[in-house]
Amino acid sequence: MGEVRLESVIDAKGPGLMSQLAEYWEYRGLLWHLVVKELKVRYRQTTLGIVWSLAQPLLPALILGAVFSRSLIGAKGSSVPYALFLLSGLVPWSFLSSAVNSASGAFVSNGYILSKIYFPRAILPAASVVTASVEFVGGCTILIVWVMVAGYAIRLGWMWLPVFFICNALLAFFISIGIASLNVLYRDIRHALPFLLQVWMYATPILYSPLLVPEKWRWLLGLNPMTGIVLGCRSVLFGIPFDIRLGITSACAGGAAAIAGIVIFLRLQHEMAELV
Amino acid sequence: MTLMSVKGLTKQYPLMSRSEEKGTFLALDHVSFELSAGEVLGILGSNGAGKSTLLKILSRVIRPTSGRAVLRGRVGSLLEVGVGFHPDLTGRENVYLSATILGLKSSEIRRCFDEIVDFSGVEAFLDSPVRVYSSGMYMRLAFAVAAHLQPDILLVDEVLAVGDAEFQKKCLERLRKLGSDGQGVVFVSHNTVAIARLCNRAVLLDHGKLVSEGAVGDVMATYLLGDTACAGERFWASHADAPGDHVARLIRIRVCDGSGETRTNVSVDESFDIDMEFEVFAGDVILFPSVTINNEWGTAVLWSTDSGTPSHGRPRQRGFYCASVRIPGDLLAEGTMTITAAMTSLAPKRDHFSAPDAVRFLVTEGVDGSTSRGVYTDYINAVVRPKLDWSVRYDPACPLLD
Repeated sequence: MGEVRLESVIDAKGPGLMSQLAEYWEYRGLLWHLVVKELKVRYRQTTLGIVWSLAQPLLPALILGAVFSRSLIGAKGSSVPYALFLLSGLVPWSFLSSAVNSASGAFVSNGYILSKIYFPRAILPAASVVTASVEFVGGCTILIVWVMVAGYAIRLGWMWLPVFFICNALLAFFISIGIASLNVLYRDIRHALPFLLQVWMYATPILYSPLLVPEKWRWLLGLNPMTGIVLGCRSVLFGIPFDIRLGITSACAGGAAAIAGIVIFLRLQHEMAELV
Repeated sequence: MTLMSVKGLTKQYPLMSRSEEKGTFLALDHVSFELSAGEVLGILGSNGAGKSTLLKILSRVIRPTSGRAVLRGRVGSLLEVGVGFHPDLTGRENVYLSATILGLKSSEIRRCFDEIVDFSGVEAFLDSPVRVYSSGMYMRLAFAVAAHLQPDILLVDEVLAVGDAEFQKKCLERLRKLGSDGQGVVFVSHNTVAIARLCNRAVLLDHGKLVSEGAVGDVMATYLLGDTACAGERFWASHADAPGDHVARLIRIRVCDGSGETRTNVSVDESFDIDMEFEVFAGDVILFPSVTINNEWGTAVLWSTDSGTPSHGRPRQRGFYCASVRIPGDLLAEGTMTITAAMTSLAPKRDHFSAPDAVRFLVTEGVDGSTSRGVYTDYINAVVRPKLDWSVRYDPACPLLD
């Protein structure tokens, strides 16, 4: 047998970062099958199927919109209907929160598979994030339709939307691999996560406009990676002016969160099989 | 060609006691071996010997603490059947999902999909969720997927512990085929019969250390018979311990081949000798030295005494005797055998000594077609396995009915 055979080395150090990345490309088919599985399992034997995924951003937007439409925390200084204003923040937010929520348990709930077979580990949370982004498409559609019905014209600036959504997905993924890895070590995280997400939601200008925050404290919003995404979406959809400074600090915060997630994941990925 | 070389592989675990580290535990301790193309390597060892740890490291599920393994070619691992199956997905969907998890590409799965379904024999239920499958169907489908991995190196752990006889047979045949196709297989099992049939070579692990390596028969004998003094040979150095009375005493009993070498294992088609050395103290007794071979269920397979020798049936002179009996090949079945050596006189019947299970040895059998089982791979429930003359006459039409 003269053919060239792929040689792999197993040692304590493990493969380098580049060959790990190459492996993810090799296993892209697995990502696809996991996403299909996730969607099938989630919606099989339901009558409404994927329509349920629309409820997540839509229902809170309608309820909160009805409750708070006349109160002060509305879209101060803009003519956007409050429910629509809410929805424009809730669509990216509910994507992030449902992605992080399901991805954070990806290692623990698939522990059985992790301890029996090797594949690049981050595929599991990636599959949860991709699944969430499929559901996200529905939310986006509702948002866009509503925006157009409300009389906002399609503008060139809308081309920014995919960029924000990709950032949104990447942020969700990198945070998730960190949280999912930590969750293997400290199972408390799974329990604490709903509360943390709740706090994070109120810390994001979804229900309110940043203009409601006193000028002195407004920079604090920039520490939140979701601020840039939510404000960016609103700015291009409704033509609300975009606070560049807030956007840049928020992007930096997102970068820092992503790096933290990657570092945690890289540290823990090889011990996972022994800890789950 | 070497497919895999393992050097000094070590896995250390901290020993925890109330979440404080209390020393360490070596699950694998500097294990080294090689696997060549076309070789089926068995890994033997009792529970906790480190077999599964070794396989998990080789399949990259966990990392070694130190040491190194180089693997050439595509590695398939089968640490469990049905990994990645989801009860709510249909058989078809599960085939795709689990095959991708095992490392197959979608195009490869499509190519061998029909073959997988054929092998599993569950066509009719392919579009039902696997939660409605019987456990047998589930197993068959899961293994069918795994069996169609086309790796250069296949790592298999205890897969045969599950499933019925039919299923186990299929597994074994599939693994054997891989070996004969020039791939390498590393096979961990408690099923020593399966290991003996499948493997060319074996290694024995004990508390994380590799204690024996070589031909499967030798390693298996070391494993099954242990380090006990009764593997292949037993010798009583002092009068005090030896079985016997004032008439006769047993000195040594052993299993040996034609060249006089002591053997702990023999092939099923190989003839061998049982040597029995004894001393006689009383010169006027008619003594019958005998051996009984017992199989692992305690059934006495054969009994034999020294009939046909000049001293048979006559009073023996005082002194030292070595009685040797040739056991022909193609007589015993495979398994662990024990020999009982006895010395009896009649009228009145008295056992001067009887050493039950004095010696243990192993009879091994391959499935290369040269033994009486031919290429039949299944378990044979018979006490002896003689090679008999068969003749088969063939007629396309039955001549008894016109």
